[in-house]
Amino acid sequence: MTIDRFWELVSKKNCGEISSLEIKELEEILIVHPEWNKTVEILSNLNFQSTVFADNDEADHAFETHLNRMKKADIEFGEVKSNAVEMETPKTGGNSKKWFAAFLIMVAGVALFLGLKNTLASSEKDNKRQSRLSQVSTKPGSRTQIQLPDGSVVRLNSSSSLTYDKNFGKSIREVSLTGEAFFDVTKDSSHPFIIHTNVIDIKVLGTAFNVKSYPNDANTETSLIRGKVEVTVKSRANEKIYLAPNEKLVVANDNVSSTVDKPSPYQPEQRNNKTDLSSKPIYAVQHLTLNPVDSTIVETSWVDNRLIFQENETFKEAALRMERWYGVQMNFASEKVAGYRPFASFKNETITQALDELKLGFKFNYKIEGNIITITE
Amino acid sequence: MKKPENIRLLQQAIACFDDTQAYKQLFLLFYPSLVHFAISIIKSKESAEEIVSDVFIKIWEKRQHLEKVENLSFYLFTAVKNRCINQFNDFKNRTEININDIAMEFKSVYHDPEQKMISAEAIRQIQEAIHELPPRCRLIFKLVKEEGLKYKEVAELLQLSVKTVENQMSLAFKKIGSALNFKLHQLAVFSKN
Repeated sequence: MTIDRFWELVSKKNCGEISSLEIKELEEILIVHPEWNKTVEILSNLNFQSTVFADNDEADHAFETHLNRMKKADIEFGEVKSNAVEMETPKTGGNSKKWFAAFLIMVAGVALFLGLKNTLASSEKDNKRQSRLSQVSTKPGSRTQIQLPDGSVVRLNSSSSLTYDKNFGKSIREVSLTGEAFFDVTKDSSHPFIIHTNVIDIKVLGTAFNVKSYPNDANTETSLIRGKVEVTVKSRANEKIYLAPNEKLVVANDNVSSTVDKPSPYQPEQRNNKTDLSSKPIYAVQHLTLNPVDSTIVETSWVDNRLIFQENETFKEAALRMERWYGVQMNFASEKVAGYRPFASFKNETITQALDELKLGFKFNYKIEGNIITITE
Repeated sequence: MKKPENIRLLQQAIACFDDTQAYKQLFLLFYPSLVHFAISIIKSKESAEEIVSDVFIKIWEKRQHLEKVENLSFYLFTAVKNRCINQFNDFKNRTEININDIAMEFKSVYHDPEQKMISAEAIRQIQEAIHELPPRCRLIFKLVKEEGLKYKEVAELLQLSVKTVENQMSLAFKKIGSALNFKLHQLAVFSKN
């Protein structure tokens, strides 16, 4: 052993460049030379920080100068946002203001609201607990972004609500979701992040994934983009389902008996206690759907303000998504049209533009009155 | 060292959500070390700052591709190096820049996260040992230990062989470890008295 070989092994070990054979070699050297043990240990515990700004002023000044250069180069850059921010909403034709300017973020104690809803269950203790809840909701046709105290970012799709405890992030990281949201969860291995929905609970450490859990949809879907999630179907509490990236878990909403669990205190709405005799939930793990045009992931396309129809759902099912997206109500006067399978992708189209484009694919007519759209043959 | 998982989250937020706040965080995270790296190549603070700013403008303009970048640290250092060399060559009538002249002269903070095993004095000792490393050796050490680049990446960035990077890292650890070991022995003697 030369002393240089020893340092080569130490440096490789410290930089994650060492092979398993070399680890053994280093261990043997250290048995012969125990006097180096302490040094090697200290070196491996050192944290080498990269260069940082001297202070916040210097940092702000550098970024300010950078933004000015960007402006001069005519490059569009929005405000630096923080916390809850409204995302752009698609435009409707005509009476848009009435429906879409009414974007509402309710970050407020919802004690009263929940208190009224849960009159039966509410003891004084419960009320105290609920007054510590925060809720963020979106109207039909609006989406928003929330940054939670732990740094996790949640994009909330239309007609959805996210509820969390005011103490979120201190000892627990738990939220409750109705509707659809994309989560980018900050990693914190000692505090798992838990999402409660009507039929499933999802536990994660640090990942990005989409959860779709609208009460009027047939299924609850969890789509994983990155990392790992653990899902428990509420009626089968002992069974854990793990997802790999690019997989999604589809759980049927009606097939869960709700009598097993008490509703979670974070639940924004009580479940209606329908007693379904079939105690086995139906679930399936599937691959995420790729848009054949540009290979983007369909399940999370809404985050990018895109509404995609892929012939895997009927017009009537797709209309549910259009209703939420545009904040309209769609009625079908024709079962035949309701059964068509649309294939289209929308980004900034107004509802009339979208409908007109769908009309190119198959024959139907529509009538708009206020926010009610009637589809006819 | 910068945490790769944090960088990935920022990348994703910028790529998928046009997140301006994440962009600012990313900028602040990399700006100081990239500027120092650029200064070590082109020896001008103003040019270095402009080059790094230009690289970040490109990052914003092409943000939809940002998620595909596997190792953003390596990507940024490479982009800065290339721009520096282009500018340098424009100014100096295409004189070849010698990458071996590169030396990073910037202060760093070293600490033991738990402050259990090592005294402030020993940290000073380590800092001094790093400061006394030959310039090229110090640059390689900083790119690996502070910026988290792999040996292979540093070799590519500085146009060296992987073996050279390995040797330089061995040298750095030998100097730092020896300084530390000396200090430990001193302490041992001191506490016996």
